Amino acid sequence: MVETFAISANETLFVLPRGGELFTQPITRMDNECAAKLVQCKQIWPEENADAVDSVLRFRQQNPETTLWIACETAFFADLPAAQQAYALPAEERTQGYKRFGADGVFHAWTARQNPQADKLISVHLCGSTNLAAIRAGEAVDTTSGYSLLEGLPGLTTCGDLDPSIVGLFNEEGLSQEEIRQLLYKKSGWQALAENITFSKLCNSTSADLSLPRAMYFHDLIKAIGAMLSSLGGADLIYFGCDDLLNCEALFQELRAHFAFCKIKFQLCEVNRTEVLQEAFISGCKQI
Amino acid sequence: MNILVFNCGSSSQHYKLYQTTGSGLNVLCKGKAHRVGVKSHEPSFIEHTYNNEVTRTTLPLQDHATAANLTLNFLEEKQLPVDAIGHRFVHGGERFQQSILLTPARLAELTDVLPLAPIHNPNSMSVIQVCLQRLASKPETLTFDTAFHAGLPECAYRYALPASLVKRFALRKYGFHGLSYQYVSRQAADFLHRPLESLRIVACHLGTGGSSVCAIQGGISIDTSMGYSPLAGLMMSTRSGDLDPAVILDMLCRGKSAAEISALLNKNSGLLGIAEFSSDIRDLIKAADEEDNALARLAVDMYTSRLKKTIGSYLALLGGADALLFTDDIGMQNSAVRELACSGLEWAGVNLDAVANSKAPLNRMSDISRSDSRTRILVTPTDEELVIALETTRLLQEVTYG
Repeated sequence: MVETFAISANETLFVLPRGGELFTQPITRMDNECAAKLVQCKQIWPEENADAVDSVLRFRQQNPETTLWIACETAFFADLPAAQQAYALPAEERTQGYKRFGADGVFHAWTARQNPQADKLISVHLCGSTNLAAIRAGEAVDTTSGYSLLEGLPGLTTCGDLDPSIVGLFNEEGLSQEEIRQLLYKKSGWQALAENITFSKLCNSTSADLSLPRAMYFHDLIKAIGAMLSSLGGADLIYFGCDDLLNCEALFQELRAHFAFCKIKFQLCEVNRTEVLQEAFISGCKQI
Repeated sequence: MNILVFNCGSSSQHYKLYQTTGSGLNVLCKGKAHRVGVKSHEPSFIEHTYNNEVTRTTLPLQDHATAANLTLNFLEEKQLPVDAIGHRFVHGGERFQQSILLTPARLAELTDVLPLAPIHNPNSMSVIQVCLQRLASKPETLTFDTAFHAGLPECAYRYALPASLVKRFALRKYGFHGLSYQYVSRQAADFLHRPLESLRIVACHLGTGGSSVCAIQGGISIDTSMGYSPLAGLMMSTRSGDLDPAVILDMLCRGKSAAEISALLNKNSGLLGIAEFSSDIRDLIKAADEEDNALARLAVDMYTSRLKKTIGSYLALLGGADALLFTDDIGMQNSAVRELACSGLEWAGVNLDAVANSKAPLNRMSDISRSDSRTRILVTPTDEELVIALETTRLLQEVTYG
């Protein structure tokens, strides 16, 4: 899905899922240099970026009078501490750009700005590709997402964390690179465990067919919260944002009950994505 | 009867020679080969302890078969007979979920599971071959690390991959270091005077080669950090630990073969990959503290941060823990690692006593938590060899008495 937001009659914001080391500012004004970087980002992360990059470049060509802005989802994590950013790989591989870039930074940065009173904050985006950020004094210090959208919790079709040896095994057993790509991005995740599953069903259904993905989601979410709490050394607030409160209320209450032992404040909010993008634009422009 | 137990790690090899007595098992002789086949500032050596005398020989130890031959030479020299041999075998896959007596047919089957743990299973296999050559008439048994985790709940062991592939490749989280977790969790229950069935334990097996963490509820493993292979989970001496699957896919697309990637991730990553001069966390802590080596500091920060996050995720899963255990070489000997790993876990009721931590004895279990800590933090030796010896005794009795 390509996300856009009409700022005014002649200004439009596009959301870039992954900017890596090429987009480290939350908002970037489109120009030729920016367009070239977008093409590079598409080459590095075709699954995540192709639709957004193609769309913004087409729009630019068709609407030369419109000012375009790019909001990058990974920029919030550009200054992660080195120990969280690096993979335990040799220098030669690290220089290839394999780093943890995070995801959903527009949402997590918005969460941080909404909760300035929380010095140690955990931001949880409850959605089909749930991910978490650990935030200290407004800055990201850790996240569950990595180099791509695959690392972390499984999504509706994405595999989530895997033993690294499994990808090599698929290749050795004859799967082509493209088949592996399709498998990990499009044919895994919750939909591999239960047909026609949606995020709403994952959270709320009591059907026996969905008991395994629901148990896995709950299990993984608890572990992810525990990991972020450990990175921060506790938290003043764990803030859950979702598109629809009705989807997530039961899950949220179950999580809050599970974590009663550590007496940390939990909060669940319905988040209007348009307002998030609007606020991100204003905040980002101030930084520019 | 004398039972010789070989315990091959990825870069070490423990052995113990037990004598069965009416009341149990006595250790007649024991030893350890250090830094087997590793690149390190420190030299490789093998030590033997017999009749309270320690013999230490510094020499190149290029592989585990060499270390096993040196051990058998030492036992022959001391005229200590061997009647049976028990081996640790790290990964039994789906085929081996309990200990076995080795037969020619099973030896052939073991070949199939060698690739599941490429830097462990072949080491054990090479030692089995040494024993088959030098102690041909003696029975040999195998005890599998994966067996302790055979009862993991499906939500913990299942990968979010299509069922057809899961079935075809037997993909699941198998978990490792099971012999150690079995031993230390029982020891902790004894130490705390609590029934094991009532305890929530997070146990950290931190070795010089491989490391993992396990969440244990009532004596049963409910999650663990290693996965389908011992590559997953924590950052280790030469292993990368967890990695975004897209990184592997990208490496394949850039022309690396699966075998090259496996060698890279298993043998040249982890602490060695970051610090470049050593795979030993003890060297790195020293270089970071005394020489202000930036890469060593980064490696130590990554190692301890990932350890802390994994402990925290299991503390969350268990809803807090009665005990947090540190065991094996690094877990026992390195107070700095324990201090860094526990720092920031106060939210879960984990409070370390810095003085007790720095003075923890190396030969017995000790409590290093503050009196107000809800979780008892225990440092404890492990004894995987004893678990193997007991399994060997049981299997031989079954053969003898049916």
